[in-house]
Formats: sequence, structure tokens, C-alpha cells
Amino acid sequence: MENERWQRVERLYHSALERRPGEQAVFLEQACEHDEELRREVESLLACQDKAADFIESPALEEVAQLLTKVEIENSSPRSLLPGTTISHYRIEEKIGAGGMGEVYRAHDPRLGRDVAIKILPEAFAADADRLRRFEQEARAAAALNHPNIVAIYDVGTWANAIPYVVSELLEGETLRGCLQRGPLPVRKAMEVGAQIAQGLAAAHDKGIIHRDLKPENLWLTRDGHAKILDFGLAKLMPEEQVRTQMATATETTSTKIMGTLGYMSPEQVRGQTIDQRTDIFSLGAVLYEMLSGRRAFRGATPADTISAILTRDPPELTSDSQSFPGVISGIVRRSLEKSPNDRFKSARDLAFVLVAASETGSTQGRAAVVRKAPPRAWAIVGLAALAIGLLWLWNPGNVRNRLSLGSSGGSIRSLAVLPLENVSGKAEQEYFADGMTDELITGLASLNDVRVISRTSVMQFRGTREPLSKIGSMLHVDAVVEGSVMRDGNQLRITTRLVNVDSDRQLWAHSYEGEVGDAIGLQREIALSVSDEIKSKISPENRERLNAPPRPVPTEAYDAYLQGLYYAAKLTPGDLQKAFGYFNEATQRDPTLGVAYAGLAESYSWAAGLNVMPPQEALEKVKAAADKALAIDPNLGTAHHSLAWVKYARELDFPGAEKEFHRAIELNPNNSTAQLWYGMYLAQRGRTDESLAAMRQAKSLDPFSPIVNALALTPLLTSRQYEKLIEEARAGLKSNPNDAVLHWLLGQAYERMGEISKAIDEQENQAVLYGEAHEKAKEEFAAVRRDYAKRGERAYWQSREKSMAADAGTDPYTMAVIQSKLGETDAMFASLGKAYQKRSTEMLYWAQSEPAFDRFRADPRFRDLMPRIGLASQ
Amino acid sequence: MMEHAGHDVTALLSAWNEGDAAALEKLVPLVYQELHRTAHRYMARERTSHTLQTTALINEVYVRLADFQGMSWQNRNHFFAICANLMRRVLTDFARSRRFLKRGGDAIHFAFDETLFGGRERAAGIVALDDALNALAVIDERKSRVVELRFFGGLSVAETAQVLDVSVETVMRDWKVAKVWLFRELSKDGTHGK
Repeated sequence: MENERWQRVERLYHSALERRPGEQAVFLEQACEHDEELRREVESLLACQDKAADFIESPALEEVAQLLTKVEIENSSPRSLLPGTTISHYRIEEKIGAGGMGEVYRAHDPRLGRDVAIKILPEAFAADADRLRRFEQEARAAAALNHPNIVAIYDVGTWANAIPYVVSELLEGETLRGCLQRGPLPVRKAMEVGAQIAQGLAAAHDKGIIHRDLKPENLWLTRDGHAKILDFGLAKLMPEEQVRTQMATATETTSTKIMGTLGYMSPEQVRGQTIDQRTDIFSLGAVLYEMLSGRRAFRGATPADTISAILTRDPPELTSDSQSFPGVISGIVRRSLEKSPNDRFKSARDLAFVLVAASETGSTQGRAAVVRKAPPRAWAIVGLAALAIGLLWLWNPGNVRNRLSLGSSGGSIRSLAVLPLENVSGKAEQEYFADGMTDELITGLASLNDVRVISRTSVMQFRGTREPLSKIGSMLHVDAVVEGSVMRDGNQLRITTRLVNVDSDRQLWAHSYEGEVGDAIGLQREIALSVSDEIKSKISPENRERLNAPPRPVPTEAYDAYLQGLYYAAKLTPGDLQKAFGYFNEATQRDPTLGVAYAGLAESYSWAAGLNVMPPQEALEKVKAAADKALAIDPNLGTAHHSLAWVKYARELDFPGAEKEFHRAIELNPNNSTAQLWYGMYLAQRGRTDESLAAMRQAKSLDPFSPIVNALALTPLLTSRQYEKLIEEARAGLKSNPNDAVLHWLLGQAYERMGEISKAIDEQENQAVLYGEAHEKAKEEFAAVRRDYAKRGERAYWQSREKSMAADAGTDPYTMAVIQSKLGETDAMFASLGKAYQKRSTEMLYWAQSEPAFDRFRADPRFRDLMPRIGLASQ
Repeated sequence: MMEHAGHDVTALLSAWNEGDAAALEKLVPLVYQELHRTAHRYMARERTSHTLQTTALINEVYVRLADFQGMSWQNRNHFFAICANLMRRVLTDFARSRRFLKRGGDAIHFAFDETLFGGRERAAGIVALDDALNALAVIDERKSRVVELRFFGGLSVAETAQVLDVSVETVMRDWKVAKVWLFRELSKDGTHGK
């Protein structure tokens, strides 16, 4: 290219760059006139503009210097590093171990003035840039774990592009392998070590990290008695050919080193199938077996035999020379070693729980012994005394240390969720019990005035979840969670709870309680107070007094029935509500002084009234009776107050009285989403849209995943006639909940009011099917309506509605009045409204004020006479 | 401790500049050795801040190569220019040997990596860049030197401007256009093989 031409190219290039990208083409077109080649030349340079941004920006010297260093290392290639060598800034002092995953040295970190352990990984790691990257990623993730039972990783890197290394805390003590060479561990010690390892695994699993190579060689026992897991996630990064060789060799030789690894692999791992966290549970099971018996769980004469044992045989019965084991302990080991992951403990957390429980009972015999006998009628709180400190240390020693030295950071907790307590009784039929206790705990905590506590429906979806706490925390927008488990054996009960900060995964508090089922009624108060103190909640003196009231023993059968009632009441279907009535009634019959059972009864009848499960006034009468009884026993039962509020509103038309009850309910239970939701409904129907929207926002923040809350929270949009917004939000809601009858009802109402009749018909059909009408019948019925509408327009639609409604004896006269107003049958309409008044129609009370169909009658004297009688303004 | 090759190197550089080809023979191993020694020391230390360290590293190599105190600024510019060229030779030779070392002397068939260039690819990239730079020198000598000074010599824009006795703006414009031109050339190679 001749010089002059190049200069033109260059000039045009710079000029084009000064123009906006969109204008460059036109500019070049003009500037190059007909010189296509010139234009292409400039354009090809411009095309590289962005891609070349970082090109050769860093001097060649740096990369080349790294290459140079690498050459030097390769040339000298010391298999063992000599004392005094520096890796990064760490000064190697002595070799303290070697294994398949590299060599470990004691080293000094002069910058922080401390000794560290540095593991130099095999060179094979460095040969593959991709693997190196994964190694660093994985090691960083492990470094973020920060758990007292996982060895702390300080640093990870690749020295001079050639030597990958991991720097970790320097531990005093020995590997579990070293310890086992002297024989099995005492049962209690084995359970403690197992529990700590399980806790460490749980923390890692929460972050999605699987160990994959848990074995005595990778477990460290410190001198002060802590267990720590080493080498998280490194197994995955073994070069593939190395694994293959290992497997191949394993089937041919009897190398003990390979046997060691092989013997702890899960069946799915041996088969090379996809693995998840439950592979670690299996490996831990094998370690537990060995700690207790001193023998390997799976050991064949050849590696092939070992593999076959892992895949097909149960390990020999758990015994050791010196002792036999309680059934509960061999049960735990057996369940961890189940061949199918589905049959094992489903999480390391569960396994940790049973190990903690078992470690406290030491070597006592039999399953029932797991629960300590409590004196009758006394709730033994095993949480405040020295034993609790022991348990805490066992559970999460680092946190106790933090708490003792730094104080608690619980003060920043302003929102909480109680995750469903795990039912570890091993019996599915006990699920209602764990759920009921969860509910009770929520109720107890809901009385905290300055802490948001998530309601039942939204936490129940996390039952048995494997989501990490941090994710659950962000889904529910909470700072901390309470989690735990319930172990029930007959009349004996053991509950373990802990409070965890979701961001730091730090345990702030943990208690274990045991006693008899009937004494559990006071437990939620105890836990609520304890949590409240921990997070420095400003609990009102009144609530504190209530929570402090001495727990009153309740007959086990009564308490059981009450919890069953709670379980079914939460489901809100007509059938389940009927069951709930039965259980609550049973509870009150067995213990006529059980206030909470009456309150439960009142609340479920209120739902029955609101959801038209039974004739509303009939239901409200029952609400009134139950709420009165509940409040006579305990005037501070919040749920009884919001139930009573609805009675005052819809039965007694005492609006100020209703409002007072709502306020009282919210004051007592600021975190009760139902109280907020019902108050929001009341406000919407009374035309107080802004206040209603505020209450609905509260309800949603307390119960973000509750379908009923999310659906009914749209009510103020209906009553304030914001139909388009209502439709948009209801449609969005249907995406996650396509079968929500309330949403379909709201949509039907909105479309009907907007005159979008064919869409209204669709929604009515959806709703009818969801309410249990047979698909075929509904299809037929609504097809007829559609035909009428298509042929003869909106009037025909209303006529057909009138006909079908009139045929149903249960139709509220108010509904007829709306249809008649559409048809211009004014006299009939007023007659229907009169009937609705006489029948104390709740529908009329709820919707008449906002119904657009009545707008043109609001000035009519008959309308103006009627409305004030039901406490409504006619305008 | 500070073992200065300074005076030797300065003398050799000016001899080479005056046309003494034998001076180069003696210079290259000296520079190579110095690079090697300095680089190794740097790599052994913590490497948190790449930019700073690269600059420091280059400075240290230069300081060790030449005795700046006895040099006028014209001579210093001259030195940088020669040094950058020498660096280019050393680095390219090194990269070439490295590439053959790793690839067993295969013909060059490297995939051009836009992120320029990890490890071995970088070595191959440097060799290709050296060729492209020669091609650029044919149509625009100054731009080729801008790249040589900045990329191989590790000089800043201002230093480059001083060495070439042009304005900073000119260096920036040259740098910009040279970069896209070279990038385009190397992309072509990547697509078609070479």
C-alpha cells in the first residue's frame, strides 16, 4: 500500500471515529466517493475498534517474565520444596504431610506474622488452564465458608503460573486416621465428632459445595477437641485421567491408599453417576461406622470386592470389642449408609441433629432413651444451664466463642422467619405436630413489636428444602431464621431450635428443650422471649408479661387436637376447614380452658364466613361464641380479636367497634398477616383505598408467598375501580398460581364491570371448575351462555345469568339485584336489595358501596333509605 | 548486592547503535539474564497490583541495564529506543523458542485469541505480532516504533512522545490506529492460518 493512500485511510479512520456510529457509514460513503476499496479498508479497521480495546495494552514484558519464571521452575523442578523457599510471600519451613492431593508444608506468613499450612498441588493441575480456573473458583468458595468445623482457607493462588497452592490455618492435632490407628472412639466422642463434621458439611452444602472425598485422612481432630474438614471440593478437580487411573488400579491392585478412598465412596459415586450432597452423608456414615467399631464399613480382599460391598452389601452389624451400641446409634449409621440416596438422611443438618441428640444420651440403651425423662408436668428447659453451653459448643463452637468475646450481633435482626421444624420422629403422621409447633412458634414471635415475622403459609413452602439459608433469607426478605427440629416419642418431646443470621450464616442462639407434649404449650412463649432478648427486640411490657406467664399444663390429647386443628385450618379448603372445626372443638372439650383452641375455632369460622364455605351469618354466630370464650380465658389473644372484629363488622354492623378490635389485634400481634389482611379487606370495602393498600402491603410483606393473601390484597383495586391494574396484577399472580379461584373471581368481576363479557364468562367458567363443578357440566353451561351472548349481546348475557342464579336457592339476593340493575328491572332490583337487607347479606355489605351498577340509583330515595340502614353511605 | 551491568550495557548499546553487529551478540545474553533475574524476583513476591508491578519491573530492568546518571536526556531517549528494540528481539526470540519448545517445532497454527493471549498462545501471539509489526513498518515506520516502544519497551505515552520527539496527541493517534491495524492483521492470520 503506497504511503499516500495509507495516510488517506488513516485520516478517514480518525474522522469517522469522531462521528456517531450510526453516521459513519454515510460519512464514508460520501468521503470515499466511488473508491470501494478505500471504503472497505477503513471499514475493516473500524470494525476492529472495539475488539482491539485491550489489545497489547499491557506490556509484553509481564507475560514474558512469567514465562521466564516458569521455565526456571520447570528446569529446577524440585519435587519437595526446601526450607527457606518462598511461594508467593510464604516462607516454607518444613514438610508436614503428603498425599494424593499434593504436599503440605508448614510455612510462615511474614506479613501477618503467623504460621500457616500451605498445600502445593500436583503439577497436573497447572497443565490445564481451565482446571486451574475451576480450582481457584472452588477454593475461593470453600474459603468463604468460614465455619468452625471446616478448616479455614486464607489464600489460594498459582505461583508463577505454574504451582497452584492453598494456604490454610495451621492445625495442631492429628487426622482422624491417626486417631483411629489407636482403636475406636468412645461412643460419645464419636457422636460429637460426627455431629461436628455434619455441621461443617451442612454449612458447605448450604453454599452448594460438596466434599466428594470425605474420609478419615481428610478429617482433622484438633488438640482442643474440634473436628475440622479438610480439602473441600478438591476431589472434583482431580485430573480426569488420574481418577481413571485410580479406578483402574483399584480393580487390579490392593494399594491401601486407594482402598482408603474407595471405602468411603457412595454407591452413586462408584458407579460414576451424578452425585449430590447425599454422597457426603454416605461417606460420613462410613466414617461414623469406623469411629464406633474401629473397622471399615466396606472392605473387601480386593478393591473390586470393596466396590461390590459398597454397591450391594450392608456393613456387618455395628459392634466393637468393648461395647454394644444403642439401637438409635446403629439406626443413624444404617440410615446414613443406605444404598439409595433417597433413603438416607436428606440433609447433613438432619444428620447433625440426630447426632447431637444421640451424643447427649451417651451409651444408654434404646431409642426412647434419646429423650431424657422429664419430671411429670415440668417443662425441662435444657438450654439455660451448663448443658446448653456444652450443646452450643458442640453445635457451633466458633459462634459461641464469638458471642463470648464480641457480644452478639443479634441487635441488627429486624425480620425473622421460622422455617418449618423438621419432623425427625421418623413418622409421617407426626407431621401435623411439627407443623403445629412451627405455627405456635410463629405466633409466639409474632408478638414482637419491632420485628417482622413471616407468617405460616409463606414459610411452609420451605419444608424440607435444600435451598441455602441465604437464598431463603433473600426470598423472604428476612435477616434471620429460626430453624430446628421436633422429635416426639409417645408423650415425650424434644425440640431443638436455633436462630441463624442468614447473611453471615452465623448462629446467634440455640436451645434444646425436652419434656412432655402437654407442657409444650408454654414453650413458644419461652422461645419467643429468648429470641426477643437475643435480638434486643423492644417487646412491649404487656406482651412480655403475657409471655412470662407461667405455662399451664395441658392434657396431651387436648394439645394434640389443637395442633391438628391448626394444621387443617391453614389449608383453607372447605373440607379441611370442617376438619379443623372438629379438632378445635375436640381440643376445647378435652380442656375447656384452652383459650388458643377457641381462638383457632373463631378464626377458622371467620374464614368459612369470608370464603362462603357456609352461610356467612351462621358462621359469624359461631365466630362470636368462640371468640368470646377465648377472650374470657385470655383477653390478649390476638387472633380472637381479629375474628371478633369481623363479627362486629359483618354481623353487628358496628364499624367503630370492628375498627377497635382490628387495632387491638394488630397491637397484640403486629406480625399476624391475617389481621392485616382482614383489616385491609374491611378498609377496601369501606372505600378507604389508601389505608387498605397500606394494610395489604403489610400483609404481603409478612406472608409473601401466601396465595390467599396475594389474591385478596388486590381487593382495594376492585373497590376503587382500578380494573386495568387489577387485571394486570391478577394475571401476573395466575402465572405462579393458575388455579387460584379468588384471582379468577376478581378477574371475572373486573371484566364484568368493564363490560368485557366474553372474558368475564371465561373467568366464571374457570372459577366454577375450581369450586368443584364438573368440567363437562361447566363447559356445557358456559357454552350456552357464550352462544346467547354472541347471538344477542350483553343483555342476553345478563338474562342468562339471571336465569341460572335464580335457579340456585343459595344465591344471595344481592347478586340478583346486581343482575337486575343491569337489565333495568328497577323494581325487581329494589325488591332484591330489600330481601338482601332482611337476610343480612354480607355480599351487600361488602360490595354495594363500590358496585358501579348501582351508580345511577344512588340518588333514588329507595336506595338512600336502604344504604344507611346497613351503615353505608348511599353516595 | 546490586551487581551493575550498567557500564557494559551502555557501551555495548552505543556500539550496536553505531553499527557494531558483534555488540548485539554480547548484549542479548546480558539483557536476557537481567530480565530473567528481575522477573523471577518479582514473580516470587506477592503480585496483587499488576500494573504497578509491571512498571516497576521494567524500570528495574532498565536501571540495572544502564547507568542513567551519566546520561544526557537525548542519550536517555536514545537508550530507551534501542532498549525497546532489543527487548523486542529478546522477547520475540524467547517466545519463539518457547513456542517451539512446547509445540515441537510445528508450523505455526495458533488460534488467535482476542483476549491476547494466555500462556503459550501469548508466546505465539508475540511472534506473530513481531511479524505484523514488520509489515506495519513498511507502510508507516513511526507507528511501528510507537508500538515497539510502548508494547515491547513498556514506555508510557509521554515517554514514547519524548523518545520520538512528537506530541503526546500524535502518539495517541498513532497508537490507536496501529492497534486496530495490527489487530486486524492478526485476526486475518487467525482465520486463515499462516
